[in-house]
Amino acid sequence: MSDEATRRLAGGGGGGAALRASSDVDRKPAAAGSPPPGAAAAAGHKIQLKSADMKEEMRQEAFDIARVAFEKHTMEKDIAEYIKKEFDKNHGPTWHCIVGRNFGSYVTHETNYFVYFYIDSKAVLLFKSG
Amino acid sequence: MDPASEELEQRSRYLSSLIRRTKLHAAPALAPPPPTPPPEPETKLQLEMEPQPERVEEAAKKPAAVAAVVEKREVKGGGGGGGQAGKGKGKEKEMEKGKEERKVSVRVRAADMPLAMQRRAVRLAFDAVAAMPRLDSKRLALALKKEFDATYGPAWHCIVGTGFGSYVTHSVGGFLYFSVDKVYVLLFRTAVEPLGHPQ
Repeated sequence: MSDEATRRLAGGGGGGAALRASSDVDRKPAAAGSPPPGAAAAAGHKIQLKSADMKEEMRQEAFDIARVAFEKHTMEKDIAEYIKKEFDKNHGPTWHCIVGRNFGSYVTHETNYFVYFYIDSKAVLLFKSG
Repeated sequence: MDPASEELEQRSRYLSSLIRRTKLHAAPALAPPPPTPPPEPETKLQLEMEPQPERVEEAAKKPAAVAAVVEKREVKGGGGGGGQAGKGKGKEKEMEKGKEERKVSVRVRAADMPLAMQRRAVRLAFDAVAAMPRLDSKRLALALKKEFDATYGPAWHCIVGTGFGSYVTHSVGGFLYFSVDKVYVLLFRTAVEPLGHPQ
């Protein structure tokens, strides 16, 4: 079922065109300081959606998993690892996750599997490809 | 032509030594790539590599020693260059100007990629960063991805920035993580499933 779904989705555009290219705007915070952990935790990690090619339900799941990741880990690569592994487990391989304050990107993703959002002052890029 | 090829060889040797050093350094932390990559470029390896992130933007200035990639020109040392063509002279002058502004360093942090491809990526990124008065991460990511998609086939992904962490799965022979000055570049490839009938 999941294999068929994946193949069908990938076959949408035909050939390489089945995969879309998405880009993200650089995030350059004006203030260098970061909010104290307590305040962040108390605020419940404010999430701001920037760009998405993903259904609402899956998007919400990404937000929830990101919140858990930020609670469990502090290093960006650990947060990225947690999020990617959760999605690999829940929605099948292969997912990729980037977390950080300052980065630009250009990626190719499968249709309906791309989300880019901010959680507090960090950006999270999550997409499926391969 | 001779100076150019000589410079290329020097850069190649430099990159090779860097890669060996990086691999030795990264050996405890990262799983070693397979010694003989399979002939099929589409083979997907369940090897997940973690590039080291910059934790704080201000802390990006690491004390790690990095060597300048740009070789010193004779013309800079001496008074005047002998027999240099106008075109070449202009190019050298441009490079000197860039060097005066800042000393740009390149360092390969982790790689699972043939040397020729690494050189191509590093050169492209180096030239782009040198040409940008101010870093445009998105533009650099786009340039690298497009170049690699066009040259080596889809699908490539590129992340450029001064502060990010990541966790990705890549195809065998399609992973490169390096830094140019204070900018980190992650370039990796994933397999694109063929749309034909399953075998």
